[in-house]
Amino acid sequence: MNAEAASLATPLIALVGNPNCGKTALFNLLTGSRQKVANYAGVTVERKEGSCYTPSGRRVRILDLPGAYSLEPRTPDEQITCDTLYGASHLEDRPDFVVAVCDANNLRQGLRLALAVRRLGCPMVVVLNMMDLARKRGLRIDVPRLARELGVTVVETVATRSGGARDLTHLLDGITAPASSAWRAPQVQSPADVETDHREVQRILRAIGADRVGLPESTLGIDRVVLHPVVGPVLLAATLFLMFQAVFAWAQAPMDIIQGAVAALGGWLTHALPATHMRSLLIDGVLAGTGSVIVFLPQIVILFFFILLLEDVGYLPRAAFMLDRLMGGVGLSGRSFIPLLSSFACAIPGIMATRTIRDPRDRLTTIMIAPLMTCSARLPVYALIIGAFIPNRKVWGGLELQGLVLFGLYVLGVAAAMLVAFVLRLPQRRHWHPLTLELPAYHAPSLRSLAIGLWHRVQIFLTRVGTIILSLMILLWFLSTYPAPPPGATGPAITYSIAGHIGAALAVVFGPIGFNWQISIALVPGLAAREVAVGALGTVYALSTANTDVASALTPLIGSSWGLPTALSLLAWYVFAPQCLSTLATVKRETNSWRYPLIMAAYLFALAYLASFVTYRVALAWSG
Amino acid sequence: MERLKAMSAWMDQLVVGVLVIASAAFAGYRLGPASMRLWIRRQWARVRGKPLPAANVGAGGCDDCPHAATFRKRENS
Repeated sequence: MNAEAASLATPLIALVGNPNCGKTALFNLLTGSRQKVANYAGVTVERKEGSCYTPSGRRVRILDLPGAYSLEPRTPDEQITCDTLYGASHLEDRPDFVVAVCDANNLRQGLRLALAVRRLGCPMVVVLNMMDLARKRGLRIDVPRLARELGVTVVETVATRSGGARDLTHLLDGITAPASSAWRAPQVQSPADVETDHREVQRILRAIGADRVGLPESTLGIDRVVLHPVVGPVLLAATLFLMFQAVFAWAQAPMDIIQGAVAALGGWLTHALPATHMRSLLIDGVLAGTGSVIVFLPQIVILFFFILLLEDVGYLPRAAFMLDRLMGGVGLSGRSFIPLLSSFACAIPGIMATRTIRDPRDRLTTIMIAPLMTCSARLPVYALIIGAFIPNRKVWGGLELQGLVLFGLYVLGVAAAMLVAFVLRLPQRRHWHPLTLELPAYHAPSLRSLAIGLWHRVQIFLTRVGTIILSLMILLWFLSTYPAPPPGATGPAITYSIAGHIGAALAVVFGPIGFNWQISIALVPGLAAREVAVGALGTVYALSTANTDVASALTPLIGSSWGLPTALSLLAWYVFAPQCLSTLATVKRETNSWRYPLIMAAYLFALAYLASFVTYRVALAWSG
Repeated sequence: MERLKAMSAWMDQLVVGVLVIASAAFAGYRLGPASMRLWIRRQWARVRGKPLPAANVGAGGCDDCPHAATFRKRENS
């Protein structure tokens, strides 16, 4: 049997379940690091596939399908899950076996989906996840009775504990090789089925004695504080504030190590290579460019550590709940919160997520303000400027001043988004419909899931540095090096290059807001991705000075060559300007028109220019 | 010796030139329109005798970016 045939004979197991039922934690437990994360073609929905070895050493493929509440798709995520289970997906093989994951603490919703899956006639098992929490709450679920009532095998798991899926892996041992052809023709769920399922779930819950299950007392107790109308928002602000403090306070040591490594590599290359074009390309282009960006990896890891942690313990849905009233205040629906929250990672998935907003005007407004949320690509730019211009000292009894400024920039982005939404919705105000969210029980974070989540973020960042940023830095080096200066030239060679001429032309436009020609050049490749601007500054300054150590010392260099007004102006620019072309392309596709991306680009550039101009002029006047 | 030096300089320029052109091609591919990327991927799949890839939505170099799922949350209304 060749490798391809062997791969085809490996059973495909699909994990299906509601969002927040611990399905991904179970997937991580089963597959460990043997997993591949990508996007489904056609939608921005994550596809996770991995492999797992059963106790007898047999390999099975595990597919983590997007969370769904029913098999009646209402979102792109649910569409993928349904198509895969119905065997109608041209992207995915029909699974040979389905694992329906239910949160043991929220059986009502989980069983509804499990019944819908059972109706498809596929070989399946029902997994009761988070059984440890259920036991702690005193829930007694009669598992053998549940299995009898459902007519399928039921096993218990604790996905956050090593060995917590032992029963499941033993069961997977017995799965026969691909048998999907034995499935009967899938049926489309009718409304009658939904009603029948509801009654059936009620009956089963009564039978197993779990019909009076709510959130655990401890969660309700914590929620009384966390969701308090006054204390809740204060707690949320404090949590976010501490998060940004940590980004600066904890990252310094690893950043110094990376910076030292980049400097050492630069020094070694300088001595090891003869003075050729290749050496200049490697040191001034590749190392100065990518080294300037990669140094911010620890800060990105810390930021995502907190975000993943808050998500894992169940706090983020509460944050959505608390901010819903604020959204209503500016004329947006609560449904806008999730896309806007997504935009803190990247505006593109945020804009894609607006598909769940039914009101077209709400959706358009959310799309228009999504780029104002501070995406993770801005962090290196903010960190560079803050590190260079804001003193690293404590204020107000021990708070990091740098973290305070970073927090302020994030708040400024949110405030600007709310203001723009308010203005856009002024012509047509409407009644606020509160958001209803499923609030999961609080639980201890899974270190394994946290580690895997962080590793994915590191991979994303390093892939960007090693692909798009690296290629743009090589191009920028070329544009900044050629043509060579004429004989007898006195200025730095870069001023005679193509990039130097472009920078000089752009400086006319950006001069009034305090940008020099180096910044103006960096803004151009920054259109591809915001963090490229940092790498571009590294390359441009490396070629502007005779100092060969510049690859590792961008922060002090800009600190000495820019004034504070210029730095503040650039920060203001990055809060507002739509530097990312990918975002505009996504808006074009989502709105099916060039009109809205053009309006977006125009209003954001105008806002950025105005904000930078005011900031620069006020700072100039203030500094005398 | 002079000839060796000239050849070395020529090789230096050749390698750097190839790297710059390859970078320009890669950046053009990643930042270019999605339809162009799809066309290239389909031609490549044809050459290798693999199934043709379906249209992907990633815009401007965002294909396969798992950023999308970072904060994916579900509303239940």
